[in-house]
Amino acid sequence: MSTTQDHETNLLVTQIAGIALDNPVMVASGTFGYGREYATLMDIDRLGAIMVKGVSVTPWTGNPMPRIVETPAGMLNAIGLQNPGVAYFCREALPWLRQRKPAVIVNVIGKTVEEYAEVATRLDQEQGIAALEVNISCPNVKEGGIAFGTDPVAAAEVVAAVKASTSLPVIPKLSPNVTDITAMARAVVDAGASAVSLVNTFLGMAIDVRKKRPALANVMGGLSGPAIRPLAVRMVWQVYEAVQVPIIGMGGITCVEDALEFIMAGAGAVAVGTATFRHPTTALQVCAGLAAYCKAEGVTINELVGVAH
Amino acid sequence: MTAAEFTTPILKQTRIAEDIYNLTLGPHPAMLTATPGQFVQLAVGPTWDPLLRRPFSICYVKDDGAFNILYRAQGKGTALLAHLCAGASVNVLGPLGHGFTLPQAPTSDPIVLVGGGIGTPPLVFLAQSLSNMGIRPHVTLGFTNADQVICEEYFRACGAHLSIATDDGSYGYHGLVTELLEQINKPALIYACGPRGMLAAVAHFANTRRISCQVSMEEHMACGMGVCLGCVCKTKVTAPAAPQPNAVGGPGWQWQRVCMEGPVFDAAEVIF
Repeated sequence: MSTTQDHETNLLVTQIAGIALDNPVMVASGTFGYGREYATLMDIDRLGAIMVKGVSVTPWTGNPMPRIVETPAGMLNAIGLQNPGVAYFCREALPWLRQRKPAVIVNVIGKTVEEYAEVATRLDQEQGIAALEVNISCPNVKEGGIAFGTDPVAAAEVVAAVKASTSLPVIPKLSPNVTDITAMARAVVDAGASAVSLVNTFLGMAIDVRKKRPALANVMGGLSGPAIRPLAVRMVWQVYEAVQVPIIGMGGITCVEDALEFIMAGAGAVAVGTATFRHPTTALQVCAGLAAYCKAEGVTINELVGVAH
Repeated sequence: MTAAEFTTPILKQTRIAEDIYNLTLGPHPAMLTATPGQFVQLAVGPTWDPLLRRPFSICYVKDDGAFNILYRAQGKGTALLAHLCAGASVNVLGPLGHGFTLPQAPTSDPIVLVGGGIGTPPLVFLAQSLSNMGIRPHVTLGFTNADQVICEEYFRACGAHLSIATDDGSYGYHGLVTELLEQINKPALIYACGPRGMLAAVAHFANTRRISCQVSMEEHMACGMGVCLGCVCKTKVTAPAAPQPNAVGGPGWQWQRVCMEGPVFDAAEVIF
């Protein structure tokens, strides 16, 4: 016999790219480390999935300081994908992560097509990974990242190479810094993407007027936070009409209403990113809010996907 | 030392100098685990603008877990905070970070605390802890002028040997706080918090004399929990000290997170 709580929770059960999820709420890559950092503050087992910080073949040192600056209802970052590399990830982070309940989606980064493929090959030997998110959209590294994310041919090449190196579902994370996001989505789906994540950060910059210099050492950075939400919702809407694969929607989600916007625009799952920095439990509150909403409306989460179209 | 996220009322807020405020926040059990040099991240106001929390070092914690921070209203977040009155609530994440390492045992060798401007408050917590160990520290503080002098009464209350310098000579010694440091006979251990230039000077003083020294670094932060990598600090990798397992860097150096491995670092490690 199921309890009321089970019933409410069941309303949120879903699937993305063949990954079974207890609920459609994830935490976005780069905002939740490897999961362990926040585990003392909250019950991370209640998350649908954890999208871990970008992982590269060898350790990356990232960009010089300063790396972040606050902007109206948002922030710019130019971290530059600092990370200790795939060997460290598999040895130190994954054993802990795979014992947790949320699906583990590993964000893969590289400077060349071959590097992306090499990370995918290494991760394919590991248990406990649900999918690979292919980061072709980081605006803060000179090579790789966004260079692949703004050219449909290059994006397709990376996705095909990762796809050929793994048995896991491949989820490209698209850059919003393009004229036509649907062209990018079609290109990666044709190359074998099982789902798409959108969006990564918007390229922006700020000037420190006291120093008369760019506020970030990298000059430009990626804008995230509530400031970008309407832009991200619009892109989810467009991509939903352009391709058949599931969409993981993200960009400035802070509460259940924000998440519902993405879902109704066509996202089958959502990720909370920058909001976690302010309130670490935001994703859990979104999850509880979705359960309450579905119960009150008498619907399952899947019945809400794209309902605004 | 486990951090908590909690909403607590402002018990009192007083303007103690031009643009400088002393804020007393309501008790929480987590704050009883705080150590000197640790900090809290405050979310000011209920909206998402300003977006990020603001980090503040802990000035002192009362027996019931109520605690004080002293800050300068100089930006969007602190200006909003300065407008809040007793009864208003703020959301706190903390205590966070790695604070000062206290001496293992009471010592009669001179222990010196060096504070600069709004970097002074965490040294109050430190002086109190040293005092509880039976140590009377030498406290040397530097401010721009007499109007900016803060925390004097706290250091006097815990019996510290106190000397103050001002840039314009309007209070105490006319000159730099590092000149006061040089006047102390054979310091055995130095703790410092203040502007980066002051910390670099104190570190240089200590390193060239092989005096053990800990400095508290300041950075803009987003998460304060070690995930965003927005507040990293360049540090030396020196044998036999092993590099942090998750740290990355270049030949002879590595990034460390001010919010996790810091804010307090060994002065011999920091690359200024």
